[in-house]
Amino acid sequence: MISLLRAMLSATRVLLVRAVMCAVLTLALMQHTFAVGTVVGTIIENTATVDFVFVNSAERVVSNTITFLVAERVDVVVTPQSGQVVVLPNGTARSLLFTVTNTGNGTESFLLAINSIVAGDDFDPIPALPDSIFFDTGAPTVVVRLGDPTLVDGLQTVVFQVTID
Amino acid sequence: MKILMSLILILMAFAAVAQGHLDVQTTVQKQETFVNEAGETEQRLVAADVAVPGERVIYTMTFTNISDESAEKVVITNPIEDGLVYVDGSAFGPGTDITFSVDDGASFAAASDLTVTEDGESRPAEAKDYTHIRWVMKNDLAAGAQATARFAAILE
Repeated sequence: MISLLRAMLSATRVLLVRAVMCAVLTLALMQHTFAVGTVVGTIIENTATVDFVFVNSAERVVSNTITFLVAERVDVVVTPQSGQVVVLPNGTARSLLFTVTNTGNGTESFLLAINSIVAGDDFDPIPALPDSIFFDTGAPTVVVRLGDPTLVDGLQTVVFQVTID
Repeated sequence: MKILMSLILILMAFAAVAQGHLDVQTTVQKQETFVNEAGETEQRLVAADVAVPGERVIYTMTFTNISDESAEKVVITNPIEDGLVYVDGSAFGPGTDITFSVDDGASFAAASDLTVTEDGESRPAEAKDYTHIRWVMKNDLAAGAQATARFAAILE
């Protein structure tokens, strides 16, 4: 695929590189924090009240208290941030930027993997070795490999996927 | 012996008060899709022991007059707990007038008459603003009679 691509490239071309990151979910321990939805483990109680008049005297009775438990909804959104990425012939170490957002109601670990072979084009970049996924630490120039992220519900991290052609 | 008899009578009196003249039971359920024996998809209500955000739960209050006299001016009040949002139009109760509160149960009015003040400006209340629902029975609840009130809410 790559050799074919190189043969086709006679000049600088701009390719819209499409890649899909698959977020594989693994369960993590429950942790209470602020939430997108009602936090996992919350107990929702309900009691009804009935007021009435019985033989000219006001009375009130209350119902049993019914409860249910809020279970975890595991949800994640991976959003491309890069748009178009310019790739020169024989280019290497091009990066794509994604954000990974925990949109569930519990803290989760997200195991990230790359699938750079996307149907519909002839551009199949090879993930860099040994690691091709990096995490934004917030520092302007330093990108450090941190391992797979554990995200509190509602929080997100920025991920760089680096590929070599 | 006299003291013991008095104690028993007092205890019996307490038991009568605790029991009251009406009994009210609440259940919480959710809708489940299942495939019946004919292979068709159907819906049924099952007990909601757990729910995930976004799921709809249905509360049903069944109240029964367990006395031998009519109960008058029967009013059922149910809070919409934190984490739940009332499903607009879901409140149901044959023979009742249904009103809502947006002030934690201090006052009740028909849905169309409720307003909420937000940033100093008044706007019509929406389902998400409701804190309580109230069912007012139009007629007396006869001895032995049973009635039902129901509403649905979405878990946030």
